[in-house]
Amino acid sequence: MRNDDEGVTLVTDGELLAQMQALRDKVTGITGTAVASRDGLIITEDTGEVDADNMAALAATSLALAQRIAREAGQGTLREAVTRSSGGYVALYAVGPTAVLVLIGDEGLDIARLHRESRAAVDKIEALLR
Amino acid sequence: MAVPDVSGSLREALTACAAGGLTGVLRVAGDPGGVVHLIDGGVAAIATPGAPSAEVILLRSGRVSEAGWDAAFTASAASGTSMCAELVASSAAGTGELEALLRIALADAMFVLATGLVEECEPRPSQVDCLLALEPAADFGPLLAEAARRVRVLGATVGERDRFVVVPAAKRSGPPLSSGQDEIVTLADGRRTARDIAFASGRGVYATMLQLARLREAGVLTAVRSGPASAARERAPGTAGPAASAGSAAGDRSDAPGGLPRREKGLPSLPRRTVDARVNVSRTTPHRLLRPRSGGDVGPLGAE
Amino acid sequence: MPGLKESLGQILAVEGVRTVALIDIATGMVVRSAGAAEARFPEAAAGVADEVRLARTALGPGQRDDDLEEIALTGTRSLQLSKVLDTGLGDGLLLFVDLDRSRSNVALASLLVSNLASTVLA
Repeated sequence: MRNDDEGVTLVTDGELLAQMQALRDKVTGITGTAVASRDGLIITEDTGEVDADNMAALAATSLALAQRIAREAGQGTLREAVTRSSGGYVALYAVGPTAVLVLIGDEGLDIARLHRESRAAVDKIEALLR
Repeated sequence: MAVPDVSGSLREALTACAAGGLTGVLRVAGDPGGVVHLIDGGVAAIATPGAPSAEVILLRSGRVSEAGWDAAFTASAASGTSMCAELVASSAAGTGELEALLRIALADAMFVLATGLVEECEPRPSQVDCLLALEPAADFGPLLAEAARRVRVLGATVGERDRFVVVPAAKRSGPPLSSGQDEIVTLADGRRTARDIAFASGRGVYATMLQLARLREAGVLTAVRSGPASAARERAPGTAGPAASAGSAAGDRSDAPGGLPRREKGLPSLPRRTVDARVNVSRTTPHRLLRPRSGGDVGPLGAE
Repeated sequence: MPGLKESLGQILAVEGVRTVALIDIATGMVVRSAGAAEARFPEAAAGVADEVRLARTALGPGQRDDDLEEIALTGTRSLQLSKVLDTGLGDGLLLFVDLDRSRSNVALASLLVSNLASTVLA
């Protein structure tokens, strides 16, 4: 239990982090995770060296854009928005209407496994955030 | 104690593929699992999340620039020549050097594949579809023999899912570090597994594990328990995290559903790792946890 | 395209060479070999890689301008040359050659091997 400078009580939610950690252990290649609010603020982060605040802001915006693209293309509900680069992947998932799950992975990310595990993980995280 | 045959079902499948002269893929379901690319029954390449491919090694080590890679890729796609031929033609790498790298990456991938959890092997004939293929392809026998040799060398010292942190300088002993070891120490942040460090540094997983074992021996690194929260919390079976139990019978793999598959090294059981209870992940990974409270006024998080 | 098999084969053709192998220093694995094949050779090769690693430490890892080039083990009947081939990748590769001293002019043989070493990775 820690208090930040503004006096807001931070509640240690070991379960949320544990879920994120569990996903990281289950899917080979995930190197960082974060859950952010839809307005770009970090809820929980385990991103290592990647700047979590910047990532949260970008993830919220990206997810919103991706959902609009899916709508525009008439392709139903967005399942996953993935950025693939020479050095790895970033995958974004909507967690209910209020949050974003960010998964950062290296070149060896087990994408097949990620697809199998992500839905359940998103559901569990959504339940924890209610 | 006899070294157990490294992954019997994989060996059987590869034997069948060789006998049948299969050209195509052998899909290995498991953890990490992967895909073995075969040409006339020989192994041309292995793709697995558990080990860096030759491409990753070339790029991450800086041996080939991204621009050089992209140029070779484009040329290869345009002219139908192999990626290997294009890399050599553009002087990005020598023929022998590239072949050596492919063989080294192949051995590393086979090691990780064969010593991980193998659930099912499914052969499928197809066109050859891998970027950097070893030609002529390699026999699987020596590859598995090499994997078994590595298991013998490693013993129970280090696993590819182990995580390490740096011991404060005052406690270190032993000779100064090589530049390769320096890089590994920099990457050992308590979050990265040996496999993660291998990817990040563009080295093989086995080579990285050897270095980690040496660095731990020298007192430079110490193993940590993975996962958040206190080191004292016992994890229930079926959740993530390395089991603290000392080894079991040789060849035994813990297949608790949802649990981390564990590779037994075939040597008399030893505690797999020492956990320094004073070192916990929260020291290396600052968590900031905020549960949004409905109706509450949650301001932007302050600086650390 | 000439591969390792061909270039190692050329070295094997040098008078007196019994075994030639390309060894990965970081892992101790035999990448490719030619010549007399012994069952225990993979273990021996890993040992050679360890020797190189220790020799590098002895030279001093800090000084990058004093890199290990070669180790020569001279026995009454054999000469074993371990020549470092620097690839800029990982810990580099080792060209290992086992020569029969009774069958060769050792000085000449090691000169020829040195000349051919540069062709191995080309």
